[in-house]
Formats: sequence, structure tokens, C-alpha cells
Amino acid sequence: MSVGRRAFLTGAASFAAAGSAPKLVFAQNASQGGGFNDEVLVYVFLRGGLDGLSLYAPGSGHPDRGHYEGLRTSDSVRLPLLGANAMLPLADGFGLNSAAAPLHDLWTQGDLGFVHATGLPIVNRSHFEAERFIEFGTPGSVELGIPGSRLTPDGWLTRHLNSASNLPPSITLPAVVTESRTTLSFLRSSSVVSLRSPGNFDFNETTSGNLEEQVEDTLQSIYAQDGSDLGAAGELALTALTQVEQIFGDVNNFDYNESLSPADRYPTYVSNNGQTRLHTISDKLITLSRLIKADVGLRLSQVDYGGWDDHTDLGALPEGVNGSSGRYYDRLDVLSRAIQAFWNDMRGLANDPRDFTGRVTMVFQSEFGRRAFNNNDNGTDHGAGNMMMLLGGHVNGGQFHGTWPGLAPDDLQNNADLRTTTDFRQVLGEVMIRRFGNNQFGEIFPNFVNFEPMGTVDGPLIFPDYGTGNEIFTDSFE
Amino acid sequence: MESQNQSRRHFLKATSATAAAGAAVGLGIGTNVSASQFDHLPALYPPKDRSFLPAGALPPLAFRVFHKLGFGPKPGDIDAFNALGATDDARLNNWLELQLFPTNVDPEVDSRVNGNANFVTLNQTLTQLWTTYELYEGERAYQVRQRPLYEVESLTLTRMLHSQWQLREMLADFWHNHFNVDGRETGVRSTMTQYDRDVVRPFIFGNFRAMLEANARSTAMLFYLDNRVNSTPNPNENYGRELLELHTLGAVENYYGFIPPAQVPNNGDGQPSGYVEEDVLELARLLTGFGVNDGENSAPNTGTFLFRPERHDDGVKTVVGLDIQGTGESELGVVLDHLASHRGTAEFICWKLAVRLIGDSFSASDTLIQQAATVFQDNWQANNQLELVYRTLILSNEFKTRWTDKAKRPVEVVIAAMRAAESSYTFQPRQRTDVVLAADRNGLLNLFNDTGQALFVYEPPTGYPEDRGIWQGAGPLIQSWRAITRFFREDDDDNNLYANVAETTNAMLAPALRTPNDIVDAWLDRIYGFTIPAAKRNAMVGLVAQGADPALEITADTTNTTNNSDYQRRIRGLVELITMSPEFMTR
Repeated sequence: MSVGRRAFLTGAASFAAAGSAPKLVFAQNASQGGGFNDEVLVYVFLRGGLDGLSLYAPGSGHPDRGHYEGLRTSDSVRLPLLGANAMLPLADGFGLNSAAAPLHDLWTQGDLGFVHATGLPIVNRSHFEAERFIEFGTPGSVELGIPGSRLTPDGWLTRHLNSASNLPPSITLPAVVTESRTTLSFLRSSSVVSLRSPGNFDFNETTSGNLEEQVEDTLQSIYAQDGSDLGAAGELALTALTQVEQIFGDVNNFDYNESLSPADRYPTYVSNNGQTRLHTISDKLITLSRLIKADVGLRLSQVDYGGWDDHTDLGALPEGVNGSSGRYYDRLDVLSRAIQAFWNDMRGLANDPRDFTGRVTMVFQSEFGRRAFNNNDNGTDHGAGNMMMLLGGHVNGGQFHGTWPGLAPDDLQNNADLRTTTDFRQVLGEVMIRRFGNNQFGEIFPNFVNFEPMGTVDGPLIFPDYGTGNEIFTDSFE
Repeated sequence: MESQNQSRRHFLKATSATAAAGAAVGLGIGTNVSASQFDHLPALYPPKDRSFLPAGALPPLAFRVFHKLGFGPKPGDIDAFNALGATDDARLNNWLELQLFPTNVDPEVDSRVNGNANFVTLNQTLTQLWTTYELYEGERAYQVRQRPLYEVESLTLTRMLHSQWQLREMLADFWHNHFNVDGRETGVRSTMTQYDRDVVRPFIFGNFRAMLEANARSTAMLFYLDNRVNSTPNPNENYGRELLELHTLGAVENYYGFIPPAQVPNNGDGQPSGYVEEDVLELARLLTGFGVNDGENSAPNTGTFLFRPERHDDGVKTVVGLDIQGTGESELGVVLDHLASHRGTAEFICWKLAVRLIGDSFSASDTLIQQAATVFQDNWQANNQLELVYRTLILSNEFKTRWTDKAKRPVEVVIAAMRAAESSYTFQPRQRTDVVLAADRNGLLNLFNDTGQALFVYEPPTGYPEDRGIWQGAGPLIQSWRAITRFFREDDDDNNLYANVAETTNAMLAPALRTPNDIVDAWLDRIYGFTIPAAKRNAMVGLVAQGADPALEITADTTNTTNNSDYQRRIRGLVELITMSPEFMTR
């Protein structure tokens, strides 16, 4: 408990230093004008353990450049200072992978920022354990004396939605994951819709007559009569079917993309049989864009963009450059262009000039960073601290937040990893408080009692309610 | 009620047409769409909370056995089960003793696969597969290299649908997920035939230690988790970590993170009760040099296992408390003995099996898991170790009494529906005509991708999750139901006929008895064998009756049983409702 107490005092000090007296007000969007919060979260999970040191790294002027080069001995797992793929300058001596040039533009425009070296406060190098702990909003394992983490049965976004008190009494489609299955962050939510392919989200009878709709409707009435949680799940699914049919009509995401002017289109590729296809990340972000623009109340969304588990041939440079396989580079390139397209879309396009950027916050996270040094196979193994990336109209972009831990031997965690300097819940928590007006941390982030606002996003501060048993942390600042 | 529903949908259809008109300009979005256009839709917030478990009686044991230990009963299965003994216990015991010893006799599968020109890789050796498919260069290279994957995927689905060895198929699915590989990857796609046939299936009822070593030496796993290139002095930890975390001890209970090995508490056997990061590093060192004849560094390019001494770390390693001398290839056997006989492995494997076969809410400390773990550990060298473990779990009171705390996964939902409808479908790839080695995946299998459970292509090494919270969501439910509606009517392939549920109805009921009431009751009895609440039954009757008196003979022409006749489609809709209802979605 003494650790928590000390951390709390530190947190209180920064509140005081920032001169932000806590106010019990909810974040509101000025343009919306009502009493309800209408912010939209796009939570992008980069599954597999993205190598943050191949996204941005110390550049020529940075004191850690020498350490970085000593750790990243493989030419294909080290961002170069010179040449066609030279790092793009950010701030504080760091440079960005050239594959992420579109993100550099967003950084320059002030909408995109990074938080250094975030992660679980208790490092866990297992993919599925780390993902579970993060998506359940918990600190890590129980063995080291922090209770409750394994016992949490549902996701942090499930609990946010259940505890929010500033939402309208009824929302048509409040939460979507763009995946075929529910993500852990929304586990056991009775409001979330998993929607991977809106173009075929219905039954598939022969088309003549209306038997398909009769079967769908009859099944819905059967599920509505079932008193179980499965009954509720089926009813939700069939309600979602009706909604998706209406919102997306007969226009699939590919055709939507083709209808945009070429400069505005999301990235595509040519498949094995010669057809042009949407990249998966494009498809998913288009789904969200269309839902946001349809004004059906979307508040929360999660997107997976995985494949970052590069134990061998990571390939941080284009294929063939410095022996690179180009896998990481290509993945980052597609992600960056898709983000750029989405953000342009949110700013308004010719067919719909409405600007949604003031309501949208994107948070990008991976379950852990990778080892500071590369292995024999031009890859990297599981590590600890990793960046989080934020993009939004209210993100304090064009800057780094948090603390860079350094790459000198003594700076590394366990002599091997980028040290975790910021609990990931500080970042998610600040977004919850400043943008979503929800301070119910006792619900959302169990056992998290030392929130310190970092200034990653703007918006009013509310002091967290850490919940029953943590009153000492919620009473006052004294 | 029914008519209100339909009028609502008709109203929605009308607005859809409006949206489609708007789409000509703005594709359904934009300034021509008002913010309130969708306000009439039902809302998903605030959430509806319902009780955790449905009320009601436990279905008969026979029904539960086929849904828990197999892919649902075919008509006739439940009667056959009930003929196996005078009591439920005797029936379960006798059924299990048959299923634990599958023979080579499997006529419903053999008749579909043997001599089928779409399956050509099933009997090929590893080296044949490697040289013919993995190393293929030329036209349609993608469809050639993936062909073994396509064949195994289709063969597996065909077995799930038609095999009389249902327990074997359920367990094959379990072990494939336990030792998950992504079948799309280089070195995996082309060897999937061998991985399924020689690495997983021979050990299903046998010995875990033997399965573990076959797996460690398999080309598919060596490629998938990168151990193929693991070499000293800077090993990659990918396989070593998952060997501890997923294949043996398990991270859920037995991963102690970064503490020094000496601080890990001992278990009752006097061994460290789990593993730490240092053990991962040591095991990764031990595994250096275990690779594949992949043509690199002057090795032959045959795809078979190769130990490369020059890449191996010969130092002493300490893994989970055991010092292992640097003896080369034989170190693998030493460490696998250690891990396979460890209490933590016994508890982890038995816990996973119980979650698969019985229900989601077990923990390793439960009495049943401890009992099964003792059987597992005491028999770790026995040839029938796993058979003994299955028997312990399946004959338990927990198995006989637990129901509804487990969701069927999409493959189980779809296959169970097809079995209930007596679908004669054969899942098979499509031989290409332009390149003789090439085959296309059956396009309908994309339906499984949409459900979130396409076999053999799950990317993370965990295998598909079990938690019902993952599967009882909108995506898996809608897409599983979509797949059912599609497969029921599939008839555009020479080898497959639609599930002719109209003819089945006619065989059950004489013409005068073909009333909506009697038709629904006959099918409920055929598929469920127990009664369901009247309101649910009446909803089904409404669909079949189509507004006519349900006590009178059905208004459709019952002599027309073609695929799209009115009669066929009404009965199909009924069978869909029965197989999509909550009673059929649990295990």
C-alpha cells in the first residue's frame, strides 16, 4: 500500500503544479451543445508486439543513437540516418520510420503525438497474457501482490460503457469492433457489435420472396423470449443485423472507396487473381467512418491490426534494402496510409464535408515492445515498454509525452528491454477523463489509484473516483 | 406479433430503398442523409441484462453427449445411444468405450474422399509434399503451395460432418488448436497433410509426451514458430517460449515472470512449480540447431527434420530446475521428459481438456482437474495416457450435470445444423483444370472466415479461444447462421445435393398429417427430442403456416420438393429456426 500511497502523492503534486483544480464537470463538445458526451474512441490494437524502436528511434543528435546502433546490429532492424529511407525528424532528436511518412504529416499538423515507453506496470512477455491484462484494464499478474487482475471478467471498455453517466438515455449503435469476434476490451458487453463485413451481415436464403426476413424476424422473437444471456446475445445480434442492413444498404466498403476521389481513397492491393481489394485495415476504418457519418450514436470502437510478432526477418526497411524482408515496413506503410485516408475522411470529403475530427480520438497500442537488441535472425523477441500513439482533434500532437527511459545498459529493463516508464492506464485514463468525462476508475481500471494527467489530450479534468476501498485516494488533494 | 414484425420489416425495406436512391449521389452518406434517418432503429444502449444461465430442465444425456463430445447428433444417433444400456450411466460408459477406440471403418467419409480427384495429397510423404508443393515454381504457384492446406481443411470438415468417430474429431480439433499453426505460412501450408496425419492424429488417444516430441520435430511447427532458424549465440525465443507457455506448463497458472528461478516456489514433487523468463532463455538456447532440411547451408531440400550441431549451443542449460548437459540432439528428449512429467503440465492440459469437453468455468484447483491431472501424471509414459484422462473427465459427475455454460463455436454450430438436416454435403477443394497440381479452396468456406473460425488459419499460437463471451457476439452468431442458410440450399456442385428436408418431412408424415403443427412437432422431436416453451414452438409454427390455420394441412404443394419450392423453403426455414435456437447453440 505504501507504494500506492506514494504514487498518489506524486499524482496530486502534478495536479497542483498544473494548477488544474479538479472540477466535477463532464467533457462536452461545444458544437453538440446538449448535455451528453458525443466523443468517439477508435482504439487500435497492434497485436503481436510491435517493435516501437523500428517506428521511431534516436536520431543523429540524440545521446542514445550510439546505444541504439550497438543494440540494433542488424542493418535491416535499424532505422538509418541517411539515404532514401532516412528517418523523418520528429522532436527531441527522434526520427520516424520513412514508411510512416503520412503519420509525419499528421504530427506536423499537430493532430498526432506519441507517449514514450508505456506498458503494463508488471511486465509480461506472453502475448495473450499481456493482451488480456491490458484489455481488462488491469496491471498484470496477481503473484506480485496486486490483487484482482485475474479475477476481472470483462473488458475495460465494457466497464466504461456500463459506468458512463453522461450518455443519452438511448443509443442506436454505441459500440463496434471491426473484427469477426468480440475483442477482450469489450468482453461481456451487452451493447457491442462485432462487425467485420457489413456487406454480408445477414442470412443467405434464396432471394425470391421474403422468407429470409421472416426467418430472421422469427428467430429474433425466439431469442427475445429466452431469458438467458444467450437470449440477450442473439437478440442483440439480430437487432444489429437490421441496423447494418439499413445503414450500409447495398453499398459495400469497396464500392464506397471507389466512389471517393482517387486522392481520398483508402489503400488497396492487387490479389493473387488480379483483383483490386481493400487492405484489411482500410476495410475496417471505412466501416467506422461510415458508422460515424451515419450518426447512429457510435461512441466506442476497436480495430485490430496484427502481425507484428517479428521474431525473424523483421524488415524495418523496404524489401531488399540492407537485406530487409520489408515485412514490417510494408505493414507500417499500409497502416500509415490507411490512417491518413481515415483522417482525411473525418475532416470531410467532397461528398460529405462535415468535419468530425473534433469528436474523434484514436489510440494505438500494442501488448508490449520488443527486445532492445536484435537476435541472430534479424528479428527481435518479446520485450517491455512501447510507445502509444494518439491521433485526434483534441490530441496535443506534434510532441512526445511521458519519459524516454534511455538505451544505455543501465537504463534497460531486465538488461534487455526499453524500460516501461508510463502505466498504459495513465494514457487511457486521461482520454477517459478529458474526452469522455468518465472518472469511474474504480470500475474501469481496478486497483489503479495513482492517475497523473500528462497532457496527451485536452479537456476538463475531473478527479478520478477510485471506487470502494480506495477512498483515501478520492477524498481530496490534501 | 408476427404481423407486426413483418410490417416493421416492410417499413424498413421502404426506407432502405430511399437510402439506396440517395446512394446514387452520396453512397448512403452525406448531406442528403439527415442525422435522424436511423432514429427509428431499435437501440443497443442501454444494455439488456439477463440472467447468466437459462432456466429449464437439463436436456437428455444423449443430446448433451453428442453436442459436447461431437458435432451434434444425426437423426438416429440418439436412439442408438439409448439402446446401449438401461441407464444413462451405462449408455455413456458403453458409448465412450466405442468412441475411445476408433477403427479404420468410416464409410460415410471414405465414400466421399477415397478416389475423389480433388484430394490427391492425403497419402503423400513429407518429402513428396515438400518437393511437389512447397518448392513448386510456375503457374498458379499460390494454389499449388496451398493445396495441402485446402485438402486438410475440407477433409476435416467432411469428417466432422460425416464421421462416426465423433469424439475423435472433437479431440483432433482440440489438439490442432493446442498445437496451433497458421496453415497459410511458408513451410506450413504444404505440409499440413503430414502435420494432421502424422503429427496430431496418431497420438489423440495415446501419449502426450510422444505427441509433444513429434510436434517439436514437425516441419510445420519448426517453420511457424521460427525454431528452424534458431541458432547460437543469440537465439530467437519464439518456439521455446510457446513450448512452456502454451504447449506444456501454461502461462495462466505457472508463469512467474522475471523473478529469479530460485524464488519460484516448489510444488508437491519438490520441483519448481512454474517457469520464469530465465527458463525461456535457457530453453531457447537448448533448442538452437533444431531445424529443417530446407536447402540452406548445404542441407538437402527435402523438408524433413534436421539437427544442425553447428548452430547448437553446447553449454549446460537449466530449465525449470533441471540441469541439462550439452549433449546435442538428445537434449530435446531430456527436456521434454521433464516438462511432460511435470505437475504443472498435467494440470494445464487437464484444465484445457475439461474446458473443451465439459464447461468454461473450471480452474486448475478444482477436484476434477486434480483427479485428472493425477491420472495424466501417473501415466505420463503410458501408451494410453490420454485415453485414461478422457475417461476420467467424461465419466465425471461434472460432465453428467453441466450444461449451458459453454457456447458452441461457429464450426460446431454449422456442422451440427448440417448433421441435424442430414446434409449429404462433401467439403472438398476444387481441382483446377489449367494446372494439374493446383486446386482452389471451396469458395463457400469463406463463410467460415466470416464467422471468425476458419480452420487451420488462426494466426496467434494460442489456437481459437474457448470463452463463450468471445463467441456469443453479433459477428459469430450472424455469420454462423448465414453459413447454415447457405449450406442448406447448396446444390450447384455435381457431388452435392441440397439438404432435402421436404422429402424427410414426407417420409415422417403421411399427407393428411402434414399440418404446420404436426410438421413442427415432428422436427422438434427429431432434432431435440425434448419439449421447448410453447411460445418458441408457436413462432416456428407461424413460419410454416404462413398465415393459414396450422391445424389444417399445409397450404404448400408437398409433392414439389425441388430446391426452391414453396414447401421446401418453408421446411428449410423451420429446420433453420430449430438449429439456430438457443437450445441448439450451447454445449
